[in-house]
Amino acid sequence: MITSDPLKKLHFETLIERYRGQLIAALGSMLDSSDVEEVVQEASLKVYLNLDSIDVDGFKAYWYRTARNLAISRLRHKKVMRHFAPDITEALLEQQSQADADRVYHDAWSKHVLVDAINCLPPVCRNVFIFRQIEGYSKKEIAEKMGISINTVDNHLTHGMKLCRRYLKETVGFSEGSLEALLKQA
Amino acid sequence: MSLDEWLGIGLPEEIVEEAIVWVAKLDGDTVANKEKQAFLLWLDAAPEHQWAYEEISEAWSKLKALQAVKDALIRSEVVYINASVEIDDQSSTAASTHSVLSWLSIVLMLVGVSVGIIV
Repeated sequence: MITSDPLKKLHFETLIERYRGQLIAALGSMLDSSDVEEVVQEASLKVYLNLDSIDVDGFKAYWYRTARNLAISRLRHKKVMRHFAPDITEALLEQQSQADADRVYHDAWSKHVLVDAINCLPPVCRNVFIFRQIEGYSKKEIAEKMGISINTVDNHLTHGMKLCRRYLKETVGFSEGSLEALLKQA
Repeated sequence: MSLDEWLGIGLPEEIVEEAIVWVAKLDGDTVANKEKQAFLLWLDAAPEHQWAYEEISEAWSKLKALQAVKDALIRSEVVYINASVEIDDQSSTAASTHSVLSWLSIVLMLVGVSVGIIV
């Protein structure tokens, strides 16, 4: 439902005008230009239809996030098209039930991979990471416990997160249909 | 949402790394106003900044959510190097188990040998 609030409409239209270029440029690294255009259109429409339920301050963030999500699902959808072009409906249905069945397994698998990612951190970094993330100690407590500065705690957390991400990226990236693999094909 | 949607895939590497620095810095404890301002400016500067921040935050909280399996984590999955005391504890337990086992095997050997002699 389109909002009846003319100020909200005006605000969003101004926003689109101002940031459209930025959004198009950002999406350009994921999709080709015709897809980018469509994604921006679709994202704008989605936000436009939901203006009433979004705070004015959140318009831009919501619009950007919608666009990124649409870009990701477009990448995934292309993959389906490539694989099952002859009978798309059946393929999509099949994919849906497969997705449901996979979800439980996938959640358990994700948890396992996350645990592995932490396990692979170097000892001191892992310690700091576990104290903060798992045990919930404050940074100050960790600094005192380990005899290091809060800054060093921050550095360990940053380093730990970078390494975890790298681990996850490598682990997930190998699987077929992962976002990373799809981007490489595109 | 699957795992690879929390990793800033397809975004410039340096932006994702900046996002990680921010997520770690802003996590938990009080943050100076000056830093908050700097963060908001950074966040607002480009769509990629926002995407990277949102996704890394998500990954960050997924890691935090492993709290739910904390006990299992520490005992079986995570090599938890807390303090030297704990390591000493473990090794002394291991050592005592080991010595009991070796005593047991000596006794069994002796029993075996004597049974052999008797038979």
